[in-house]
Amino acid sequence: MAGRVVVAVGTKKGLFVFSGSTGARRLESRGPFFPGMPLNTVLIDQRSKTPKVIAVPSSPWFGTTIQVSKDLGKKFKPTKSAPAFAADDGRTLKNVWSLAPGRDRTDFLCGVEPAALFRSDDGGESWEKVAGITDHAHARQWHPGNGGLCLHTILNHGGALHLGISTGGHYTSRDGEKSFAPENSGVGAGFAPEKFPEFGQCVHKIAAHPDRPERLYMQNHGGFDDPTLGVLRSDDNGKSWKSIAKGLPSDFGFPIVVHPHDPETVYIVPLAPATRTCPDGQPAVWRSENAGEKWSKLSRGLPKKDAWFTVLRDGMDIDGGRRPSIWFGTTTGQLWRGREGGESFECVASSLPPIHSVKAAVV
Amino acid sequence: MDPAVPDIRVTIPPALRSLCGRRRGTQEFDLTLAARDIRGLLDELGRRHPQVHVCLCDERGEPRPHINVFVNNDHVRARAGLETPLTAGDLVTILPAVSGG
Repeated sequence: MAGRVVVAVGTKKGLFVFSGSTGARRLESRGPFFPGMPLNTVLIDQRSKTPKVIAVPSSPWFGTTIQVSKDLGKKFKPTKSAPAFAADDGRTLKNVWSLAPGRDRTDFLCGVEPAALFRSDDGGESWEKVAGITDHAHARQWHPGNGGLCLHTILNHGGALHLGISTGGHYTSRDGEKSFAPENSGVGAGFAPEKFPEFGQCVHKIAAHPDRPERLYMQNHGGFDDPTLGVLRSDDNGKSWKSIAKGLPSDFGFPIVVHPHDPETVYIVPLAPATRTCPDGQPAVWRSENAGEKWSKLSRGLPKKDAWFTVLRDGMDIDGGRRPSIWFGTTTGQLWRGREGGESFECVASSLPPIHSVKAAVV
Repeated sequence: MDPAVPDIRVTIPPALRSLCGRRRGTQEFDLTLAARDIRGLLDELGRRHPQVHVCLCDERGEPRPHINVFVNNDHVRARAGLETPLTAGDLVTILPAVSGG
């Protein structure tokens, strides 16, 4: 029996949810939920029998809430609280950039701006800071990138917790979140006097596959004279990184996604460094089926010219279907679906608000 | 109640009125809070209606960047900010700024 695909799309003006059978030509759409509120991230949590769609709208006026739907995005209910700094910390929460399942069935980790990490052990009802990274000696030395100083990637992988911070770099905890250390060997910072600093890199996104605990992929801030800074791979669980950008039209981009059934297959969306839009106005997803050794362009169904959109760091995902689709949303408000792992693309929605985040799952 | 602390009439944004048990979008709606100044009024709001307070104020207890607080017709920044004194008969109006896009 065909599964049901659910796609949660966080935009500048609210959340939209698309759903339908995996083979359907058209999907049902709902929304906007939380109208007028931007969402930088969404989560589809499949740990329990009833999957949850968890949205994190950040109202420019009224602040951030954690909203949970137990009916695949029909109704949402706020949790009792959202992450917050202590009154005497000096920092105030500006945005939430990442929400990730923890190691148990009901715990969550939440990455925020300014860069900090919070943990909830009760399904998002209450939150406490993860001091090892939030109060790290480096924390007050990190700088904001264009999107703000954000902790955007949270990845439990290979027995370590990996974090991506822009602009802070890649940090790991190998002692159960007690302490964190920068692990940026080979991760460059083309905007800094020291090309390979200990920390301070503008990491854009990190991805991995559970079957290869030693391996991670990173989309770092590229686009400099040295084309080896942007797209990276680690084969030692993040301790060191090397370029896998050879053959790409640009090493600049934001999202990076790994195929759910093949740890060797990785997807990125190269962007022109100057405009951060599709090179020459010709959008494409690029796929490697051998862990970045060789790349191929996937553009069937996408515009052939005059397309100048950006795909943001949380704007691409791949569902977990048997023959998964890759999904991405654009800053021009289009939601694209690439069936068969990106072999052929179709536009699912053409006129949404600018898209920040796309999460897809087969439930 | 301390007779020296005046009762102050407060209006909050319509979008938040349901958090005080009122129907969303209720047009005519006031709270009455006892406070000597704006800071004390926001603190009292936090005690009485914490879900409203967290929407209007950040972790330091200060109004969020796009929230405006008026005493009668004056923005508090034109007076003494959070230390603006309040007297019986004042009306405090809390409104979201005209911002966005």
